[in-house]
Amino acid sequence: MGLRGYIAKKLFFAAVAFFVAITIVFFLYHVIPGNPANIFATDRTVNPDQRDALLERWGLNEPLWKQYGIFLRNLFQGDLGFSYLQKMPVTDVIGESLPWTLLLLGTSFVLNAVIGIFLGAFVAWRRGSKLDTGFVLTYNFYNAIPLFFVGMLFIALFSFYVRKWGWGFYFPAYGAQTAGSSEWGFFPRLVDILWHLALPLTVLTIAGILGWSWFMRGNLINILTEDYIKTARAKGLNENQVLYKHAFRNAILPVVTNIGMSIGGLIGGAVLIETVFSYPGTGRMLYEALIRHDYPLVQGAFIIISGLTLLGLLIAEIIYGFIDPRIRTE
Amino acid sequence: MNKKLLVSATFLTLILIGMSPSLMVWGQEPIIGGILHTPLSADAHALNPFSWTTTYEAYIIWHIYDPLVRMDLENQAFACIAESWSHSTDYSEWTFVIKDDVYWHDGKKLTVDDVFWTYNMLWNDTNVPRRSWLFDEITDLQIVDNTIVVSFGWGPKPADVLYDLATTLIVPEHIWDGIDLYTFANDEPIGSGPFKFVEWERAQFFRLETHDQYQFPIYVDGKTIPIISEVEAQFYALAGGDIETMANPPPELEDAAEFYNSSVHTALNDYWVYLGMNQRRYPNNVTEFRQAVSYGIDRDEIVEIIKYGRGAVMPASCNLPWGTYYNPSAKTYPYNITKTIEMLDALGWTDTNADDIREDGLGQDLEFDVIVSADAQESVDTVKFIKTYLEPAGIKVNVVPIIWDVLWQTVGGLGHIDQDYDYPGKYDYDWAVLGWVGFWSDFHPSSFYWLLSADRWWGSDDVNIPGWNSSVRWEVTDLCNDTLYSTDDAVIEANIDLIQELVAEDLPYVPLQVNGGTYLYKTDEYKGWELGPTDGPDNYFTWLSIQLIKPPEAGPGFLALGAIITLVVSVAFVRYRRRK
Repeated sequence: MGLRGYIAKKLFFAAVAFFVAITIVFFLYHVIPGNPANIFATDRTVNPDQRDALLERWGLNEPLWKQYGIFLRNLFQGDLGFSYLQKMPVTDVIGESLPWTLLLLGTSFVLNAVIGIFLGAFVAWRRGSKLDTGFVLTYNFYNAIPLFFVGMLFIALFSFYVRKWGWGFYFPAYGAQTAGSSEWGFFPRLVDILWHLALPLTVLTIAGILGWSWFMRGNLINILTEDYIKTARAKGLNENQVLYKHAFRNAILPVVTNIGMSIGGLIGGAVLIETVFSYPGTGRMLYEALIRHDYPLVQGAFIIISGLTLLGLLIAEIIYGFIDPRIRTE
Repeated sequence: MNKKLLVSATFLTLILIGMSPSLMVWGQEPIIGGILHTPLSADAHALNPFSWTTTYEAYIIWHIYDPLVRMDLENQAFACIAESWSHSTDYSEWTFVIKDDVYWHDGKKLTVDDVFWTYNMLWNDTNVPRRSWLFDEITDLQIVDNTIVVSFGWGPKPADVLYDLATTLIVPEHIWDGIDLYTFANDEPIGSGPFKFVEWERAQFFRLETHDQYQFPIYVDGKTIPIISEVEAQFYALAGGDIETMANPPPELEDAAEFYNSSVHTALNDYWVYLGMNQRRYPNNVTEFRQAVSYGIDRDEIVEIIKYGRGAVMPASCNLPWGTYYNPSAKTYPYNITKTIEMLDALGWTDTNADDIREDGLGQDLEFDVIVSADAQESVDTVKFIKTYLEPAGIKVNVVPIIWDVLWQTVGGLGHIDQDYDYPGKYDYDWAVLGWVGFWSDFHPSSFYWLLSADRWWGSDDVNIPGWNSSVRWEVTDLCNDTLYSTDDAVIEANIDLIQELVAEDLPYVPLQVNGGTYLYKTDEYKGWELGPTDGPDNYFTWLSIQLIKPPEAGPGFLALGAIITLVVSVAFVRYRRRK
């Protein structure tokens, strides 16, 4: 099969998978108990009749198939719906939180992938050395501590204790920018945003780098035991050629898949980190929408997440096709 | 050249350090002004006063809008937009005189037409979620000069009118006229309240500035309300000087508050938790059994251990244990497991098969599943305690945490689904732990009417969460109606006293505890905190009185950091150039 046919086939399957994913999300989320009007539960001032009236206004008393039809029709028109609770178009709600998530997770993602892959290769190449042992210990230590706890520790240390100890600077305990910084001009605001970004980014990136390195290290260690590596060495290739030309290219294939799959996860956000640092990302927004049954918002977010995950996978598979021609023919 | 660069860098550094507010304020005299920082733990959704969904939204909205009347810290009426009010002798006609010096945040004057427009809109649209039940009772609404006259078909009492109707927030007609009330996000609200909306960065912060034409003086320049999700982060922000108040810190941190110039205030909330024993099922419908269970629960310990001492035991009378209408002589159920055992013995319910579980009159084990919201860890812990308490009495309790929506649907809180009042799973539970909020039973004579009357929502056959159906229910319903329509204070008080005694004896609900709040507030920067028995320090009356006692110390420390970085980079650059 040629590259064009290969891509067309992948596109078709991605479209089918996307349709199935959004259909499942729609029906699953609508059949679980509860509805958006439950937010008024136990509140004596909002009686059941008023809650019914809201459901009717939101079209939630229509049969489920009819709601699904409306959902699909709107989706094909590029309309992700209107958030019941935020009283805004879903695209606007997501649009407000997405830049912050992309800034935090996107930056972290790039740093993790680039540093993680090379660090993983570096320690795998030195397997059994003190450096490798140190890496394994660090990885296990960091992973043994819940990420939110690390976040809280960072807040205590770099936001509070540094001030208590009289250090010249500190990092903020919460938020993505100082209130009123929008009036400061571009450069001071940029500095302010980076200042707020520092702690959550550090916590996420340390964990991410260690994770990606660990993954890469494992792959590479396996590859290094393969016969063709021995063959390459027997051929007299130098160690750099063995590592980067033979071992690295093969070890990176699963990493590429993981990178592709992680793109969708960017939108889902890092709920814990966003919560600990009160960072205004999509993770927190989505979590709240989920527990409050804001159907259009949840569906809209899942559509974007599904779409991006599939897109990431598609790109990964196409890259596969380039990296390893055997996959195309298979 | 290099020397010049170094001098320039040092000069720039000094300028940047000089710009840092944390350093600029040294040596200045205390001033009046400043921005008060009071955090929220979650963001608002929309700032619509008629459809807000969470207390976070209500909190912001009540900064921006004013009603005719607010409630003060002692729950007395405080004149806000209304200058005064009066009523006819039979309470059926109420007249509110509107103040002449109230302005909207856009500079326009608030008139009686705005009040009329707001009331008229709510009177005519019965589906508005945030709407007093008394709008349904209005028969006529008129403007007479600068007054608004509200007529009812009967005579609602001052508590009903002042606290339920007159606390309706007033919106400007020139903005709200013609908009769709249900989809209006109102994300740039214009009100007449003490603070003017400036900016809302979603999930980050609100910025408010003082309404310069406000009818009462305000001494701070404004408020910033950051959204800080975690209480630990809030505490570090408070200790570090970024915020001035916070609610419910972890107990271990609360003890450390005094080291960071913070004071502690405790208050009780109009939010009580109960054990609902589904009386549609035997043996829950046996009053003596409910009483025996009630004696077997150590509420003091629940408050002390699970709630960290924040709160109080909720009386069996379902009336908050303070305020005008509290009847302390109503029956109580102090922890007494021996009495529980004696009462069960008296019922003849013994353990006949030696499995440590008694059998009821039908020979079934006294074993009950208690559904509880899995999100509320304290409630789950409460059920675990109840399980332990009742075990020696031969009652087996199974803890069943489930998600809130399933719980609410199961106990019948939805009323109906698609007009199906008998939807699958409705009332399919043994016991449940739930709470009620905002019934104002401490000072409002209609609280029992809302909660227990068979004619009203929560006590009606459509909902009736505990399935209360004894003859006492109808007696209480009659008393509630009598109280609602009575204007004789003595009759009202006697009725409410009797209702409490009947309820405490019959136990439709088995109340557990009243929740309480602990608040930290900084005392080194501001003075004038107003504290109430049911309010935290961040309340309307604090906003009117709070003043700075010294300039703020916290500033954007990144400027100092930026200065240091600039210096380091410059020195490194100079060294590099030299080496080159």
